[in-house]
Amino acid sequence: MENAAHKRQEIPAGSNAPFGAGFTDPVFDSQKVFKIIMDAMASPGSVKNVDVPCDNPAAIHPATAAVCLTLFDSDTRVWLSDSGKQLADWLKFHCGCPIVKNTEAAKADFAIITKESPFPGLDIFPVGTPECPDKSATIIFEAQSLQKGVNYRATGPGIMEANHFSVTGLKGELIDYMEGNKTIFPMGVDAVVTGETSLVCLTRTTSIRNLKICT
Amino acid sequence: MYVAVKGGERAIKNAHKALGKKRRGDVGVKELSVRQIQEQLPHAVDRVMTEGSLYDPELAALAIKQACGDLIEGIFLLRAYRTTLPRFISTRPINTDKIDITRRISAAFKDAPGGQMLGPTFDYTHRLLDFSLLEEKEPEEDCAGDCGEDREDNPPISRIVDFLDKEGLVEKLADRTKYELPGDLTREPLLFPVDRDVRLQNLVRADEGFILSMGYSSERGFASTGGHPFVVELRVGEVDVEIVPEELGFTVCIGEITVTEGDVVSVYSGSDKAPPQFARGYGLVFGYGERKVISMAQVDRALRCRELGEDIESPVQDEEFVLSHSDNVQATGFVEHLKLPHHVDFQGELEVLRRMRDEWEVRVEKRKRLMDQTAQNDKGQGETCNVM
Amino acid sequence: MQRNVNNDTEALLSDIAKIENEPGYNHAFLDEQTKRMVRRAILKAVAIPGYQVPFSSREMPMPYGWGTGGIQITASIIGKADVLKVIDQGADDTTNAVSIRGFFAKMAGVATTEKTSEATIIQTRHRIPEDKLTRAHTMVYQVPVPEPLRWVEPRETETRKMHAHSEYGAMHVKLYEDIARHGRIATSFDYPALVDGGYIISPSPIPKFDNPKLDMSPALQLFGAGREQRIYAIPPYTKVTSLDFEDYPFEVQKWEDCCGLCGATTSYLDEIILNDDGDKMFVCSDSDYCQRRCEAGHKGPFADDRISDEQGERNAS
Repeated sequence: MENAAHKRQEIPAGSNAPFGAGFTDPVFDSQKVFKIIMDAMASPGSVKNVDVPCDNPAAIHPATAAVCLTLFDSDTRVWLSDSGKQLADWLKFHCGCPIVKNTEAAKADFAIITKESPFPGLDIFPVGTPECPDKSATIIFEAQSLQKGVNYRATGPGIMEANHFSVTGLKGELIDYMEGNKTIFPMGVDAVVTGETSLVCLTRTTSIRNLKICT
Repeated sequence: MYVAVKGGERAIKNAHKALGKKRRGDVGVKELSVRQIQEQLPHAVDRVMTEGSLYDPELAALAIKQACGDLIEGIFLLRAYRTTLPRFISTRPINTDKIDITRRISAAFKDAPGGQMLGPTFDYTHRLLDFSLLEEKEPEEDCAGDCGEDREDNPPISRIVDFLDKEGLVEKLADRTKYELPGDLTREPLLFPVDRDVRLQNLVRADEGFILSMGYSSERGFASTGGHPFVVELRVGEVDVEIVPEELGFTVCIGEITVTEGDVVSVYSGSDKAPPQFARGYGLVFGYGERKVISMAQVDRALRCRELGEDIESPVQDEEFVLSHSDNVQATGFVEHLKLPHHVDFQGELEVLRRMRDEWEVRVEKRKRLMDQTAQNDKGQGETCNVM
Repeated sequence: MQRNVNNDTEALLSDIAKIENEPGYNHAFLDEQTKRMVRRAILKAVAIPGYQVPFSSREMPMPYGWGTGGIQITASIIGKADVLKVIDQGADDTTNAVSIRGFFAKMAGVATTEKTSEATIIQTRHRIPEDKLTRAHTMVYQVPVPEPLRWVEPRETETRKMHAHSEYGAMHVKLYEDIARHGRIATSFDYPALVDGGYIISPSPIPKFDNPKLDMSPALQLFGAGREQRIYAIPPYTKVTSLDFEDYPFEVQKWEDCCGLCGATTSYLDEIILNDDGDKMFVCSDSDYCQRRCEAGHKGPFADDRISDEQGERNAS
């Protein structure tokens, strides 16, 4: 349903036209996507539909591509779990962002853990300092889908009582990590979990509980 | 009754109109052109460019015209315009060794290679009003003729501070040929402590009056270290602005700008790691601005106390104090925002004050009664004592 | 008194347009890179409730101290679907509110409103509307001094450490000194509050009357300090506690009078001096709230003394 309205297409891996189109209307599309991310960050655990079309490289979800186009530029250092050239080239072309080397994750402002990559262990990313907890990374973490799967319950600032979300193909370590992340507040990382054309945010203040599995 | 509450769109509209009228002045007098400001008020234009962080004499002159001659307002206009400009590329550092000099003096040496050259300066003029300027007149000799300022083919001029450097009497600088992109406080928030590059940027953009006074304070003893400052060299002239476009890979000159540059030194008594020597202060502004350059260099020198391990005892050595309050666009905005309505907060204060006032009166009354009573008792006791 | 925006608004906006709508300006004035920078700071602020995120504030075409922080936030979040309300001292018709609203109407081409219920973004200086906010609202506060500890410790390098280690004792001492001296906490506005048990914030100088509205608000609340280069936030449904003591609990202002126009007894009131004898009346500071009450037939003691709009305009100019 959510895909039907979009005129977006995936750029196949190894395509000769590797860049595809970014946003149709960069000014207003990035405003719309930002509003979605801001609302999601302000209400952790609530799944938001990213209904703004753009082409995405095969390695990442359309929602991930939209987040990149909205937040990245030459001032953001990005770490990629995917070593493929296509994604790095796509980011450089559309966002002009420097890609940090694999070993320099500690310098990253953002990290993308693509759906096909293993969990890298999030301890490699900066969590800020007690004086400057904002000098921390935001992790874009790809699941398969946010439509169904394992159910989670989120509580904390931004949430009236509890927000519920379901995820398929999320590496379970992320939730454990975010729970540990909570204990070093105000330091910590914040996560944007994407699946296809949806996203959900989990901040450093969010408590996440695994509910029973249903499909 | 009761109109103060009504802000009113018409009031704003009329204020804009009134300002336009004031700007134009007597319509019987010919309108001042931007070109005239640019040509005949160069010091105003240069100050607006320097503190406005944008080298464009025409736009600076326009800002001065629009601001009716209020330079801080002009600086603000230019800054607000600068915000909207895209950044294409960063230039190479300007090389003032290759400056095309119009003025150059040293107060530290009687003479030096390249010589002293006064150029256009107010120095040594007698500050007597020149009533002949009351009349508009045709250009005369002093505007057309040779004033000895054109030098043949402009050979590079040695930097006087380098002579001290050769003798090891002035602190070594990092290699000038190596180049790192400096910090930029128009793109990164000012966070303390700051490095010297960002400090110098702050001082260039800083209000001339503020920096002048801070420099002055260091000279009057409100800086416990640093000794007497010496202007080793002051140079004014034109320098090339160069870029290296990534796709070309070689240097391209895109124009010339006029700058004033100054090296000021004062004695540094040394530490465990460094011998006694002269420590440097540096100043540079767009156009002619040696008052600002000298005081900027003084303040830079004073603020180097942290890196030099000197005691921090005076306002001018206090980085957070100086750099947080130096910007006149920030300062004027915040001071003048007191003109905005504050009646909501004021109402809160009124309420608190009235209550405190009532309570105070009750307290004072109570105390008075108590004291009267005590006095009465004392008196009674005194009498008793006397009796005893 | 009629507080609606009158017919001159259009004329004023076209006037402002002549000055500001030069070709070549981006949507909402800021260039896209600046917006991205502000947006990233907003996300960090939302993720770390109450923490002041440094951002490289730009020079705006309004002076520092006149709302540049709020303006940069609004410019970075506003889109075509938004409806903007701007208030200063609670009122839509104060000059700076008129000016900022005009700026966005022209530079962002967005719809504006005076009705709290219609707005999606409310940019404010010194007040929170009387009406209950909803999840659909985003509040944008203009903040002059974001550092609540500034009057305790003027140095940024020190206050940053105090926040890092939650060393808030000095703040409590300051409030307690008030009690020792005056028998009460004498802070009437900009009353410090603790966000989610973590950071103490300056709620911008809203009167303490409005502090309880910060607590568990359904609206996202963003705070922008342009001159001081800080953005901070309170996410929706977040606990915000005004500092107090067991024996001196936090309390808000109360008035013995009611609004002279609409008769409201529970709203924040402004005091107005009526004549040279010093006679006075009180009116709601929230102009939208007051007007709707008047339209609904509520009447205060001065309701029949209202002057006509034209007369007010004539006097005002």
